[in-house]
Amino acid sequence: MIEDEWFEWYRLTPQERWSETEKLWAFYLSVGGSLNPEPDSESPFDTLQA
Amino acid sequence: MGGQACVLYGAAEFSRDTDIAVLASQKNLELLKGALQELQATRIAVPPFEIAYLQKGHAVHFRSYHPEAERIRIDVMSVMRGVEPFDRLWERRVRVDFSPGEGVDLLSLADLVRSKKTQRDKDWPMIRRLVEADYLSQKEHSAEKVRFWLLESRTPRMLMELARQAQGLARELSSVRPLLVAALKGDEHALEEGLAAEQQQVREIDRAYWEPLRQELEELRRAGYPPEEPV
Repeated sequence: MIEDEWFEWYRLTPQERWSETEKLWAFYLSVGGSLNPEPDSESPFDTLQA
Repeated sequence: MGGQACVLYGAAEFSRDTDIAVLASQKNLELLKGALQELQATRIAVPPFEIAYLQKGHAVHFRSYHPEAERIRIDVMSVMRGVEPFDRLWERRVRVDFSPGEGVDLLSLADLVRSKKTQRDKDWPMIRRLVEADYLSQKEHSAEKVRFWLLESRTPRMLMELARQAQGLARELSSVRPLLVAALKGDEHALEEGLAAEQQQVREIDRAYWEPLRQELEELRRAGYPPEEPV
């Protein structure tokens, strides 16, 4: 019913998911990732000046 | 209320901003202004940070320049299409604690799901994940939960299974969610088509909702309203 790849993520607690996301953030920022949201032409906020 | 809330509830989103739902009262906005000043925040777009714009449904956008939160985007909203007024959201909020005394208040799952029914492609898979995660996390399937899943699930096989287990309720709810008829019949193809049509219809409603708000922003820009301003 639910794809296998999602089970592991769903089974984590909220705090565990937050911790995993923090690791991803740390890596992203360490390789120079931008904090500007990606352009999203479907968003009502897409035209805002960042 | 945004990507971070989705992560805590079980979806996965690499969100680069922080979305906050606030009560649009003068006193509360003063408190928020103080917090934004601590973050050395700048408003980075129209509309201005005024109660009237929040009450109309606009988002106000900021960027933090505090060294510990440098360049983090913060979007503030008070009114969201299809979502109940703030006082009801506050009553239903869910607290997630990270450590004693440190945590966040989230929109309830049902409110978060409603807030994600937008014109954007990316929000719809998020709803699917949120509801799947909720389904898997519940040891017991209360009538209230089954109702919620029947009304909000976007996973065809989950809907068919739920309809099989709760035929009476699924039949009853098919008056408000017609695709449940396909779920009751076990017709996965028709169910997928129904989900796509449902999504298309809601996205068009959302686009129409935002059109006057977009126009208002455009008018503010044309009028030369300063797009950026320290808080």
